[in-house]
Amino acid sequence: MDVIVQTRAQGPWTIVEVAGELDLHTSPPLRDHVLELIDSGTDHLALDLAGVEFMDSSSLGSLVMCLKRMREHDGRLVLAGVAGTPMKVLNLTGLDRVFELAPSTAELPSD
Amino acid sequence: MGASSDRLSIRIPPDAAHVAAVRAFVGAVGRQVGCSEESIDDLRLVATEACAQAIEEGAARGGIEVRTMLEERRLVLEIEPTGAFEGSSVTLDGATGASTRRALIEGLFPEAEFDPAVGVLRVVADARAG
Repeated sequence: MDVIVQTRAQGPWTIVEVAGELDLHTSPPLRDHVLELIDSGTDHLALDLAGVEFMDSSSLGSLVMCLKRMREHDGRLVLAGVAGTPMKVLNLTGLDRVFELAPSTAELPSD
Repeated sequence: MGASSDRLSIRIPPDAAHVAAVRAFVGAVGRQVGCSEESIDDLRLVATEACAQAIEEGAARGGIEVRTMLEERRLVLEIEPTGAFEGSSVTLDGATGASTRRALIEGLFPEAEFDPAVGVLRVVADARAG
């Protein structure tokens, strides 16, 4: 199953909407897309994961890589709309305390 | 997909592109035997993690076999790298990302059994049918 990725702007934020199942096969293209955005100067980036039905630890590795890159650029990366299995994976690995989370893209920080 | 009365199996090549088929298989079997949706999600995650580890470690040159068995209202799920399995390379920890996988699997299924000699991971979930 492929992952659908769409990028849009919302105020200061660049939002990457993701839909589908994230795993060892599908997360690298998403990672590359996000890293490209960061390297091209995006410093407020929200990953909208509301449409992600499944996420494994390989995908977490990709997200951590994106977070590290964003921190190197002194930017901000937020995971929005995480629920279900993806939230369970974040909780079990303790990464829910590492990532900045927002309930939805409508509730992103204003600064 | 192989089948007998209460046993089903699927074998995939050692390629990440095929792991989604394992999730679909496990999900379909779980629903068929009446597992809860939460249990099905957990089984799909464990199967994905085990397959991903075998693929990343190059331990499943002959493919990966995923078996389900219905035993006394419990669904048993086994994931086995086949072919040139190298037992020393496929443990649930000790490699990059593997400790995270272990935490996930043991968090979801504390009774998960892993046989390092043959690389088989076995987990059990309650099923209403059977």
